[in-house]
Amino acid sequence: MKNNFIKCLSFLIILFIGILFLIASASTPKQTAAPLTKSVRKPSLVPVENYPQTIEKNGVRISVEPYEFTIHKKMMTLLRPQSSLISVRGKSYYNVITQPVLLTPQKLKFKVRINNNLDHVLRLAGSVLAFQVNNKSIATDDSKSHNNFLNGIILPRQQSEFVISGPKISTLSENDPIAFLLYDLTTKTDSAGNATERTNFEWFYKVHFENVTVQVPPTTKESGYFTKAEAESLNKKMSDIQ
Amino acid sequence: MVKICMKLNKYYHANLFRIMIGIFFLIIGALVYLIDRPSNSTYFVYHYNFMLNFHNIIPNIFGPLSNSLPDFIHVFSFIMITAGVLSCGKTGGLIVSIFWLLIDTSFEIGQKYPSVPLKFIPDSFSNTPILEATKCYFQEGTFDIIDLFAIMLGSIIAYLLILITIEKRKVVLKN
Repeated sequence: MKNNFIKCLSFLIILFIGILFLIASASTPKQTAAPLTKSVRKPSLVPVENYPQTIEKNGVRISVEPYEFTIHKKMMTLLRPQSSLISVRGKSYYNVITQPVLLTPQKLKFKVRINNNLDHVLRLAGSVLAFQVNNKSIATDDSKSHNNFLNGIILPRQQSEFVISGPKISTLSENDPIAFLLYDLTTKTDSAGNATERTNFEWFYKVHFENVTVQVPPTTKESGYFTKAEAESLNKKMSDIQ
Repeated sequence: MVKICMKLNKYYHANLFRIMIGIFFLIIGALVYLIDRPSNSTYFVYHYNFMLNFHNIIPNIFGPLSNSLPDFIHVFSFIMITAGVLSCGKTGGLIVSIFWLLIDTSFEIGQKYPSVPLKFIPDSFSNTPILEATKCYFQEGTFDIIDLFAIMLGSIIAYLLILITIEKRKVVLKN
């Protein structure tokens, strides 16, 4: 009698465990969760009235065009080392977190196109390139693009293009006036090459912001074993969103 | 442990050999999930793998078999364990085999028609470990006719093994 009871009980326990095993083998929910929405503050520059984007003075025509603010959606992989019961062939256990990242420009950018209509070479060296926000000069921290510009030499009847980095977007507020200033550009020289005429160019803009919502895939978490080198190469790796 | 098993075996007449076969195959079944499937694809590996996951470390040793092997192993192992604990004979083994065949088959068919089993799953399951995966089992699982064949094959082989491993007990007549 006791024996039968124990066998019955054992059978029920096995049945329960068997069903639990079946259920535990269930697939985890597929990553079909609704995409996340992220908000981005998108700046746009509007030229101030009566200040054209293209200015022609003393034989030099310069047009300035702000770059479109672009948002690149990427997935960033982050590897977080975890403690593990085993280490296989020098591999360690990591949590692999893949999260959406929005790559946006940190600074305003301008495309500057210069047409030299003079009958001599136009050297940009010696001119002064500056930005003002709210009538205050600001440092742009980008000597590379400025040096490229200031080392520019444009042959007669030729055109050159430059990309100039401007103020940091994070420092700007709605309706801030922004001035792009190019002063003391040598437009005339004497026979010895000394500047006899210097010309100033000015462009004025107002900055406007709009909140743009972007849909991105949700963050996913996996885990696995990686060597240190593999983990370092994978960590912070960016991939395109498909 | 072995001594305890031996005592249980002696007292309750459990068929240890069958139980050991069942447990051995259950371990192989677990390896399918730990080796051949990504850690986030299966509930128990994702939640209770104790950081033991060999996916991408060991080559996929089960290959295409890994799709239906767990179905085969589950029914086979639990028939063997049940028949081992109950120490079934011919008829008992057949009943146990059919019983587990029906359980596994109904779960597989439930994946084809998930709306039916989902009606009977109480909401309290969603807060209970393991049982919380019940909905996922039916919603996310995919019905496959090959899985059904694997379940049938597992039941048949298990029954044949039960027949081979029937223990002939000594009957002691007391005067």
